[in-house]
Amino acid sequence: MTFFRRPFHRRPTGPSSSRTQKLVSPLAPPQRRYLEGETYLLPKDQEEQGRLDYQHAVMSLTLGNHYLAPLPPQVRTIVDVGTGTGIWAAEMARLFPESLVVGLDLDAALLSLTAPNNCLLRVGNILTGLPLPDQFADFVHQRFLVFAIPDAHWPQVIEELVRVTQIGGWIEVVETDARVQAAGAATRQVFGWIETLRQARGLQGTWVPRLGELLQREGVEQIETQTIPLRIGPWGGRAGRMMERDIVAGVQALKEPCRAQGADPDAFDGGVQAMVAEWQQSQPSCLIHLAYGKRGKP
Amino acid sequence: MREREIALLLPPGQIGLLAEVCATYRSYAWQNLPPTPERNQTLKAVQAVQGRLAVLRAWGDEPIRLMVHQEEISALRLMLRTLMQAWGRQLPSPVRDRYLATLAQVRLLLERGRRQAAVS
Repeated sequence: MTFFRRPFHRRPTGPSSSRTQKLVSPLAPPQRRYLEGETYLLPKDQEEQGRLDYQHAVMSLTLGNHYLAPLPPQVRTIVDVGTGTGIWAAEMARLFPESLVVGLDLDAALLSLTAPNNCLLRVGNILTGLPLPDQFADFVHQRFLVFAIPDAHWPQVIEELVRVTQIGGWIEVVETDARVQAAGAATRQVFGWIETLRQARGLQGTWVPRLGELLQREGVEQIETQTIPLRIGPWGGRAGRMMERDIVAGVQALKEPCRAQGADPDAFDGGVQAMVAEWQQSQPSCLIHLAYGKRGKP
Repeated sequence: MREREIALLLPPGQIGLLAEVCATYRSYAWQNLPPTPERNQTLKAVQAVQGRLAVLRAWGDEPIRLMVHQEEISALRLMLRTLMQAWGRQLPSPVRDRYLATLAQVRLLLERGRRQAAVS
């Protein structure tokens, strides 16, 4: 497939990323690996690979399926943008064995080597343009890139997702505002540090509750949007405990970037412990925002 | 026809109605029902039916034969029962009455569709 050898369509409007990325930030201790020169907040290392695969299982349980758009039985080509470890793409390749599933991520480090034969995992960055031709896929999926896409770039990201979707094909975007509702003082403190970090990188996720509006601007039809509250902690049963574990791991993955912004590491650790203790007594939740629709005729 | 598969005869004007009820159930389930394997099984079945309905909506004015598995029929019945119970718990209002009437119409549609498919 020649279009994977170089980007088919590139828009030089996103944050620039040098071809040779320096993989280890001087601010990070040896055990966590962050991408330099990229907006992406979270690490890209083996520990994060485990968290992302676990998060996939959490989402499958809480949302009921790997995909939420009402797809027809036959889907020829599926694209997963920001595929992370590639686990979603690999699962979809098993669910749709006659389909080609392509998973793209800006960093190849976490891509699994054990994907099915009908699944291709490649490097691709939505912010600089996907290495795919127009109208490539019947179904284009993107999940949880709120810590990767600056607010100013969300409209162009949706435009790019629509570009690579066939007319009549489905686009699905699943996001979170990455905030905890009904939280206590310790939770507010920890997420306050994270909020400072997000503001510094323009990653507040202001478009997340308005994904349907962005799809509509691009001529997407039959749009359905949902805001789904997910319980965190024991009051949510098994799913709630899994959510708790995933969120705590995600928060801990942001410790070093928060430290670089001025948060005291010991205070951060203490804050996370107090936050978890709070969650055993309160009824916290987070919100998932979902939007999907069919690409309309131009 | 595969084993355990049933053909539903649906008038063209009612396909959109059934698809809308499917979408409503999925929204209700995500918001209100705890994530259990049983809930997720029903969600998947309803989603699959909704997906096939989305394809059929573009077709013409003839009645449509929608092939559904027995498990999907069970899921659709559970969907209707769940929504009727949910709306039944609301205080009486014109909106509630209208929605319950819609659900009853869809239930009748399913049962009539099955009977007509069995005869034809």
